[in-house]
Amino acid sequence: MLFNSFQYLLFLPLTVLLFWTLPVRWRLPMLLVASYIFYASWIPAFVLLIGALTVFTWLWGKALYAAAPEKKKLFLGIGIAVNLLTLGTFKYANFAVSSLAGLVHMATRQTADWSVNIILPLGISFFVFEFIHYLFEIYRGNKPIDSFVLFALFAAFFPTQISGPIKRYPDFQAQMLEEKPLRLTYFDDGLSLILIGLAKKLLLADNLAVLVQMGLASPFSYGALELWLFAYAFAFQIYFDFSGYTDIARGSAMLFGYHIPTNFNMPYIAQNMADFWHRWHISLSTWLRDYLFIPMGGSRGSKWRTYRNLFWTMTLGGLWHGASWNFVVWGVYHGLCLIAHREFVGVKDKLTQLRFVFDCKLYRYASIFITFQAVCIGWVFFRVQDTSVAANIVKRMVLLKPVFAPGEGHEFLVLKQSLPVIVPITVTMVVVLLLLNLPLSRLNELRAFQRLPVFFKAAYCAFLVLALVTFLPDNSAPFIYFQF
Amino acid sequence: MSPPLTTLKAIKPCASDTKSGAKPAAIRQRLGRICRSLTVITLVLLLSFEAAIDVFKPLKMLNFTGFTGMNQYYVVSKLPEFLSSSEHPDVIMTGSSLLLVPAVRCDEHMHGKKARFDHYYYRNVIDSYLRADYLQKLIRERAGNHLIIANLGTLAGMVSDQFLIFKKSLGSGKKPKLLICDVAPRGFLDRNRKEYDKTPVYIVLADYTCLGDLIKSKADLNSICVYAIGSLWRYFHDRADYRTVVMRLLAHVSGHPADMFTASMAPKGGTSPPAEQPKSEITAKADDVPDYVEKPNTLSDIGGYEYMYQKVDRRQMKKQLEFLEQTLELAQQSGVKVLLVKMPLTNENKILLDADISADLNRQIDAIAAKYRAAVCDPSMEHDYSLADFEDSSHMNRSGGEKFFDTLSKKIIALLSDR
Repeated sequence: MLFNSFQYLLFLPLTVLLFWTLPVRWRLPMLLVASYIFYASWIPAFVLLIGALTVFTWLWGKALYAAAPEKKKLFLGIGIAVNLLTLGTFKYANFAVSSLAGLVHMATRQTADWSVNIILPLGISFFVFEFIHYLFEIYRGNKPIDSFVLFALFAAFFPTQISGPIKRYPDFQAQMLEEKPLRLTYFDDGLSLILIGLAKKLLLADNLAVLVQMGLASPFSYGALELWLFAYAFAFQIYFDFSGYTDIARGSAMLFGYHIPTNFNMPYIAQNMADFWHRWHISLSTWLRDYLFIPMGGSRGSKWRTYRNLFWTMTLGGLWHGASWNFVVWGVYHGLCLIAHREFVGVKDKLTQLRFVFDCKLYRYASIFITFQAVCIGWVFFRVQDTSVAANIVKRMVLLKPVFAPGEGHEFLVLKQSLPVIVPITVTMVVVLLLLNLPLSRLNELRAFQRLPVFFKAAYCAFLVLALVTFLPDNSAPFIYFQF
Repeated sequence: MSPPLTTLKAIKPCASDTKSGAKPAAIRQRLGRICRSLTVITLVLLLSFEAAIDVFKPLKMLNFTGFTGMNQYYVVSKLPEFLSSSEHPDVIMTGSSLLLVPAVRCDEHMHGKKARFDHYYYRNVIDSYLRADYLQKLIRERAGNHLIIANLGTLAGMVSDQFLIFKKSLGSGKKPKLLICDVAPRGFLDRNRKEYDKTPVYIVLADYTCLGDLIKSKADLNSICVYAIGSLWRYFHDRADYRTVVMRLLAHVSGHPADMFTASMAPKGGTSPPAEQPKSEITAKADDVPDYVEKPNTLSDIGGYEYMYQKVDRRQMKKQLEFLEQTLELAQQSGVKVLLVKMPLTNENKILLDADISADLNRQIDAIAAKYRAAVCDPSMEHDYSLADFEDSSHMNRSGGEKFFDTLSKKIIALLSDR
């Protein structure tokens, strides 16, 4: 059941209605049942897998809490191993086997037809990350959740089930235990978030996808400037796709009175890569920091040890996104960028006489510009599965060679008059988004929408509804992060 | 987002309130909060927009621009409108403009309106006319029956179109007591409409989803939701038409093709996309000068008939006869009576068609009618029709219409009272 489907349009109001009309003691069990129905709407059999993993983690959490201090580490290790093994089996078995087959082919020049074809259960990466967080927090001394219903609901809560944001259990447990009265603000805030999320997905991301698809169908028939345009288009597509999803998830949760963490904070005005990761997929980056980077030693050791930890955190973070080499390369690239940034900060701190340069506005804007270009280069590896093709695209982009499409003189292929009108529309969209990136982010920082008089907000929401209805595609693509 | 409101349940009167004033004050406060709610104001705005759409019908207003889609095409725009309406007529008339022109001429006279003969009137009033008030009145006066009659004749409608209109009407829950079909020769032989699946009616109705289709096809939840929302929300129902207008407008401004299909139809390497809609098909502007003067009958449409009847395609005729048979079969299965009407035409028109073909066509129509026990009516047997009863070679004027509806009303009364 996609958030951008009519099934969800029926499912959500029905669940909200039931939630608020049922006696308080029945609300959470009802929400749990609804969440499992939501999950079963994909492949019902996987409910058993997620259910079994939930039961195991809940019981194991209790055992870990009760275990003697010297055995806690072992209990934690086993708990994490079982979760990672499940994730590995379903998510990475195909990848491991095909990579092995590739190695065999390289060594023996014989094609090995090994494939296991395991279907990836939706949202398993998010389930496993929440379970690992849960076990870690109990290991660190937090109390486990007593009620199985509460624990299962924490894991399966349908708005965050498939693509997060990755929740933290102490905060979510407190919200579940709170007896909520019905408030109109839940609907005002929730519905406007859902609308904004749908608009990001259906009006922006899905249309930008047309341009990206066009570019990637034959990337080498375009010039470097157009390749940059496609990279920008994908940067905005993935942002609007994922942040749209997050807005719908947050809005849906809000209708039940739940606040779930934000995932984005204007990532494309980041001034460096570290800043970018503080603004992009925040729930994942903080998870990686808390349960991977810090346990590996964080930045407590030497400079090289810190770099090593950074590198592995980002590489594994990349691999978490998908079982494919391009995600590994993407992770490595970001790891290297973060290391480079740390090195640069070290150098910058020594150049005290140039402080006035680093403090000026122009430097800030230049940093934002350069960071955005670096992020866009990363997105090429993220989007193009064939790493050698991606590397070639990046080479052309960076070297600006050829600037225009080969054999097309000084013309842009994307502006050809024979292309359907959706192409110039999306090109305009990208240009406008690039130009408005900073001003819009500034307005967002000032909470301009929230400060509008309620009538204008309502007019904006009504406009969004009409725009969505008018341009609703017959078949909207699933959210990009659903595959992870 | 908006500032947090206090709990609805928690809104209690202040201690200082008097007993009598406390409750209304609390209610006022609660109502005030509801009225200031973003959700409520958004809903009110959307409802207002819907009401405005209902009153102004912007798609119809935009018709002259040529940016509107097929659903707004004046020839067929009334069909989706009728199918999605709550109207349940007792009698449905299907056919061509031969049914529309006399109905309009008689109705406007009955209502004391001046007859108009300009281009705008033909396209915006006559071609999209849905009523037969004069016929209803005749039936009411003669039999005391308050029948509702829907006039679903369409400009240049074929017999295959009549079948589709009837089928979709049944699918939309509009089961009439009687179906009247126009069986004039043109509906079987029109060379301009050789392929039955390329007519405007077919293009608009083939993909038109009605409840009957959904039930039969065991539709998925998505289609059911789309149908249900579309039934309740007019703007949602017409969303594709609004999208078409926007995309065509943008295409016009930018010089790019409106969609992938148009782009693929463009000449290779060419920069000019094909026109969206032929200029002749675009509805005239509402401010065209009205013409109230009836012209003498110069048989202005005779050239068209000459062309249509010149080379009769037997396969086309056979196909259209099959559709007639399917219509009668469907009517029989659905328990709907059928009346086939052999439309009066001028002699100048009749002689254009080869006598053998005409006789053969009539024979086959009679045979099909007999097979399904459908009634056949030839108004020319009861009244004499002269050139003065027509506006051109085929369309009856008011005087012809009065004769025609006289015969038709009697036949309808007879059929509906015959158990």
